[in-house]
Amino acid sequence: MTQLSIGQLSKRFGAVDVLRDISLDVRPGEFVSLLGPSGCGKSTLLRILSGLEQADTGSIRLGVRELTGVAPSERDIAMVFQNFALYPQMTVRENIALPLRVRRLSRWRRMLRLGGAVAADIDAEVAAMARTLEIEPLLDRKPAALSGGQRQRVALGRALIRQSSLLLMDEPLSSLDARLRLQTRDEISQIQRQFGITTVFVTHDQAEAMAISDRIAVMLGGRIAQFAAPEEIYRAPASLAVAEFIGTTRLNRFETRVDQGGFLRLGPHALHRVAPELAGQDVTLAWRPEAFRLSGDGLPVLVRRLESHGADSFLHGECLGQPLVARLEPGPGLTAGETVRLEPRPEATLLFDAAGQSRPHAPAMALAHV
Amino acid sequence: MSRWRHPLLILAAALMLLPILWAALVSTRPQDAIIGARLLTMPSLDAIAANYGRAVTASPLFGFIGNGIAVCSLILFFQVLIMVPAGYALAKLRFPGRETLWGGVLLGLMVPAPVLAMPLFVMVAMLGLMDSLPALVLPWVVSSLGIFLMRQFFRRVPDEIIEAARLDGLSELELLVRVLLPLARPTLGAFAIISLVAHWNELYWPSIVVTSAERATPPFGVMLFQTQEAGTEYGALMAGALIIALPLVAAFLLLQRRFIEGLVAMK
Repeated sequence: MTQLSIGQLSKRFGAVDVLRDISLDVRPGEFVSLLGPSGCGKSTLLRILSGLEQADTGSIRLGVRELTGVAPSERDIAMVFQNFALYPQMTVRENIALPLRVRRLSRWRRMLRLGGAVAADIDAEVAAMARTLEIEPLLDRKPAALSGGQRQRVALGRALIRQSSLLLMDEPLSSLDARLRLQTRDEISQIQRQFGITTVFVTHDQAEAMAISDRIAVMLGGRIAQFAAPEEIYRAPASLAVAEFIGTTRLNRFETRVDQGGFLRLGPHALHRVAPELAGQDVTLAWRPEAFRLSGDGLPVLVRRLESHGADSFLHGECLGQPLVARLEPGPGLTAGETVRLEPRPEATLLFDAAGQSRPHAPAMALAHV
Repeated sequence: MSRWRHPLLILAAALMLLPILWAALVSTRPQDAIIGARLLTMPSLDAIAANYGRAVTASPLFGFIGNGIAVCSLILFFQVLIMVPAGYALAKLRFPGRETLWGGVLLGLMVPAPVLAMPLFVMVAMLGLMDSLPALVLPWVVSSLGIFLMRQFFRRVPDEIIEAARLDGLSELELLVRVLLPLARPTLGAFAIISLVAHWNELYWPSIVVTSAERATPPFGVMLFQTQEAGTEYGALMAGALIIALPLVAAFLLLQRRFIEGLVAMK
């Protein structure tokens, strides 16, 4: 198990800053996802880690080794590609064995297919890996004869057989269909723990990242916007941009102003008191749909439409002239057209300053009317 | 339309085969039957023996075929040796001047070979290579068509396969030989047929640089034989023509599956 430290990494393509001052410490054996929309630089960062791309500035340390300037094959890093990149004309066995053959046999012995005792060792290791990944019956097939999930396992086998210090995965689930994706996601997680290999996983799918990662680095516009455990990123997003990116439904946001007394106001309603230095400033209040509960003295919401999802239901309504979505437990029947009062739970209230940065507030103070 | 497809194709094939059939008929008839245009008589064994015997004895026909095999296989060997790395570099490597080189390849595709005959002849003559094997081979070892085909093929190979190979530690040469070349076999097969047919049947260039029967390639040799020895012995001439076509037919039969795969893959 090896630690990965990325320090102040930057990369430009022409006039575009793809990565800006990226610093990241991945603990030994940790599973970290780089999560972000397409174009946020996550794949570029992964390619720089692998050595397929060079950073302009910054450092990468794997354990005690500095990797800058080291060739991809010398980095002790394995990678699983989005389309698996198996060698089409080689069997599964040859695909998995290739990284070992390259490392342990001289070029001429490889070319002439001479191996001797070394080759016998390699065969044994390939067989053991195939057993672990449950792909033994497929060893003599070619990639074209495999299903997507099977190719995924072979690609994983080829990456893991070298016993590298770091495993990189570039959207390895995106070419699988939805059902297989869930299953493979769990398998990857289980295998990663079993091998204890430090892993960096790139994805644009937040559900995937949430389910599989120890920590998530949310990347937006070439920067790491937040690096934290999945639960924390959801509960306490560091910025408005992270809050908007994370979560399956739209964020309810309200632009407002903190009054001179330090009270957060929304229309005629004063919510709670916030940090004094915010007094008089423009802020953004945000709630996820599940932040609300029906309450006698909440915000007035005009019900426009109700949507039942079985376990819960979504209320699409209007509050202070703005659309609002709330997720409620199925309870007493509401009807479209009526006005209900929804109270946001204070601890689920997100507050951002004019620059979009998260600001602490006093969740203990309840909604009050002026 | 589909109802007429097969009859039309058969008709087209028959038209293509007619000259060959004609040559086969002529090569199996005695001289008087040929002159009298009585080709639908029974072929006579005597005439066959006479025509084919004359074809192989009157000229060094097997020498021509040997030259043809040597020239064509050397050309193809060097063409492949050059076009595979060149196509790979143009498709997958980033280096200054790549687009200019690619433009050169496209230009090369558009220039008809006879246009180059004069400068090539001057170069061959200045190098003192007239009437030699290198004179027949060297001008053709860089094939624009071959580089074009390989570049188009390599462009369709996903970058990830090449990157995976780099991470696995394969050298560029091994990557090319072990990973990419096996994938390129259909394209190489198709190119091999095109190259072999073109250079086996080449008449113009040999007629410029070859001056002796010892160096003559099959079509040029048959032409020499026609003007010097055979005169109007059409039966023997056609027998010779059919014999020199045989290696090509054999090569095609051997490669035809790859040829068709390759052409389909080129779409």
